Amino acid sequence: MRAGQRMRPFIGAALAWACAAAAHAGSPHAFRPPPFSSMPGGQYGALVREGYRIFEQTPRYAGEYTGDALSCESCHLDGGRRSDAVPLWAAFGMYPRYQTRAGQVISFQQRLQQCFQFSENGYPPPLDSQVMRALTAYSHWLASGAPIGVELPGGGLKPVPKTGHDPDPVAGRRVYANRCAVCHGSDGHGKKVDGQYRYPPLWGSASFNRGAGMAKLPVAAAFIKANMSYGHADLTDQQADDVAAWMELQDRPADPRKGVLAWLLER
Amino acid sequence: MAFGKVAGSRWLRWALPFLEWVPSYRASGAWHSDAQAAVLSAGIMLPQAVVLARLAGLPAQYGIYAAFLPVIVAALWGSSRQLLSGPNTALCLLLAATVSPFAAPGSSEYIRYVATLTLMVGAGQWLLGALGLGAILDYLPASADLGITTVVGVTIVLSQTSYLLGQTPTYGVPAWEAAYAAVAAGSARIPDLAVAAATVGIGMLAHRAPTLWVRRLALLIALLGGTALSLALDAVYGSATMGFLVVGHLPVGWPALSMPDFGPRMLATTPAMLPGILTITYLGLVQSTVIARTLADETGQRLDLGQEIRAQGLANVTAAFVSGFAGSGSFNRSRAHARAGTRTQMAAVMSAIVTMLAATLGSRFLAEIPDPAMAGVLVLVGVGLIDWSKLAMQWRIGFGQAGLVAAVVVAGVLGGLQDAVIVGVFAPLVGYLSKAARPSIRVEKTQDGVRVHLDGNVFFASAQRVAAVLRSLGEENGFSGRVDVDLRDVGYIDADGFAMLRREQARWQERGGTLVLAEGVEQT
Ligand code: HEC
Ligand code: HEC
Repeated sequence: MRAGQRMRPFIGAALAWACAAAAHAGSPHAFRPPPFSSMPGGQYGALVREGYRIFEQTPRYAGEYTGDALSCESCHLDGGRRSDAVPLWAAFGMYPRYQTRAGQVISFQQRLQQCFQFSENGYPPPLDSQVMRALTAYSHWLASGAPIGVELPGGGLKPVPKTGHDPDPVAGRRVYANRCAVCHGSDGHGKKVDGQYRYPPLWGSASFNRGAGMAKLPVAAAFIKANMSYGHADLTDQQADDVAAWMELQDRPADPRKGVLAWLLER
Repeated sequence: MAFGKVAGSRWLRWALPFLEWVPSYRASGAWHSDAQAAVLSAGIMLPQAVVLARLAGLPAQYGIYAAFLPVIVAALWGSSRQLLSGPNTALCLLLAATVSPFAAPGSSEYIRYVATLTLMVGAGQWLLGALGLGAILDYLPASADLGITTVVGVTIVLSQTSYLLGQTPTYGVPAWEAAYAAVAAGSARIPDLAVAAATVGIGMLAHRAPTLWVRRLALLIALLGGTALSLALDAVYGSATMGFLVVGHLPVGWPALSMPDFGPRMLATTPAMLPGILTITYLGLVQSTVIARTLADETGQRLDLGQEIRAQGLANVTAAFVSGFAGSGSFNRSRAHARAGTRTQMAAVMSAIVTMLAATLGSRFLAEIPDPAMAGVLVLVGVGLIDWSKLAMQWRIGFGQAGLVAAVVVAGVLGGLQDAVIVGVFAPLVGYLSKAARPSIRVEKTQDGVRVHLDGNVFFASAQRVAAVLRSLGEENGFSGRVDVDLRDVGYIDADGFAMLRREQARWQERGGTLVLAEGVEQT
């Protein structure tokens, strides 16, 4: 179903699958989310499916709350299944949890609201909205059988080890041009095929805002190291740091936690 | 005038009544004043469309769709020149109360239920009109209507409490309970409270403004003001810091086709929703016809109520297929619409188009409308529905009137709008029955016995009373002699009354006396 909606380089996908399979085989305790073929029926199944649709094509199915061109899937690869790309199955059981940023224990739904405010540069869906119910159901299903309150291997992002050198945006620019621009465009604004983004924008007005996790250098470096370039995650630690530093320098929507006043003062 | 000959056919005029005036519209010169009224009415409609959808438990764009094609259909097929239909407060509350026990508000299932229900309402209304049963709409006395409107006002204000405080609302409980829970939670978000207070304050000021159009557009101005304040707060402190929940980017455009659902789940729940569906069908028509009549009285227009009822039905059938929901005429909108100089139905058509255009062009702005501003507007709407001077007048008219209003209000606030409508329809009937159940009974001695003169109705409710008089007469004189029961002034005898009379007659015969039923009743 997904392949029909969003075409992707076949070899890349096949390789990614092979890598993921290898990663799973490597760690005996890796959690396996239920396969798509086992999606349940009934009302719960309908909600799960709706959540999956929203996850794959957020601007289309949750457009009310979305302010950029990214889908959840742009970062949470393989429908939120891919290890080391913040998989949902690892996240779901960790909530409610204390969040330093919020200064309180937040629920999974509140975390989803943040995704929309920052990664989607949009508006928080109300806790009782359909979008929220669907995404929660989808995450809940992906985490079927996962332990609660336990950090699972492959969950979140694997931090890039210290290299001993500062991240160098100038070197990062070169990495970007050589390794990323083919897909994400030389201007970083992504690439569209038939009016739909096939390669998501990394910066610019259609990308995540400065408040997003991905806007933080270590987070972006960890994501890129483990997952980019797509299907060929073979950057060195230093290259990942460098290209993340280059990304961080680019223009993107402001952090919605900061008002215009704070933003002006920072300049 | 190529239409002239065809439009002459009676059948065609019944099916497409607008053929009578549309072809000559350009020549009529009403265009200018109609267009002016249309713009003003759109300004009134737009904020209502957005907030009433929320009241009905639907995403905001459904309100805009409900204010578009259904309004055009109601106007073109309707008889009243000034009636402006669309989303209606009472019906929105009823929709939410009817469907929310079966599906979560805003869910795709909920939306399908609403479409199905709207289709049933529309079909029912059209049928009532086509069968000429409009008279049942007169069974709701004005005082009950006043009570129902008051309930709607109170319920709206109560239902918005949680939004005013920036809390997630509780569903599936009566509005007063949800409001109590919200207040008892004791937590309020200051930004939400501030925006809500500003919205209400601005609305109240605008409502008292010296300029007419400012007063008319008070709700729009309040919504703009509240939203502007929230945007200012966002700009200063950052939108994520403020954390307002907003309408969001509305997918407005040409309305998406919606499909009523008659699947097994739907059919299984229909019986449980039937009382709600009937109430919506009834109340929608009552409101529309009351408004249409009032406006027609003011302008001297001759109204075809049957046509108006069918048009409302048709509009709701349309709504079911174009992502709308059940609506009816709205008093505040129609009144302003008429006063703004509306001359023909074309004003409503244009108003619907302007509303849609404004929503599409202004969707960037609509996206930013925060919850507390919508709640503030709804509070203004709700408070506006409570007519204190009319309520006070009921009290002065008499205890019976005030009692009816009070009963409707208590039933409605505690049990929901549906209960209010039921009490509103049945309490006056009970009152009427108890009056009718007291026929005057005069007993006169004559030379050959006793003459009992009945004046009034002898039916199920009064039979026992009459029987008691006849029996006590019999016991006095041992059921001897002759009693003439004079039925000349009896207006109506039903089967119960007749059976009672025959029973008493038999009793006298048994004991040796005679009871004669005189006039109007056959004797055997
Ligand atoms: C721009 C990339 C990006 C997009 C788009 C995005 N996310 Fe995320 N998401 C992240 C990153 C990176 C993290 C880890 C955040 C951190 O460590 O600060 C994260 C974290 C999360 C978490 C918490 C994970 C945990 O382990 O605590 C959830 C849940 C989540 N995202 C859901 C979503 C959903 C649902 C969407 C779509 C509406 C979405 N995300 C869109 C990048 C993204
Ligand atoms: C073969 C094409 C390809 C190449 C080369 C590639 N990417 Fe990507 N990238 C993708 C695709 C496709 C996605 C979205 C994944 C999805 O939708 O499933 C993505 C997503 C991302 C994201 C998260 C989404 C967003 O818009 O922020 C980041 C960050 C990213 N890539 C960075 C990089 C960097 C840095 C490089 C170079 C080292 C790179 N990519 C090279 C295809 C590529």
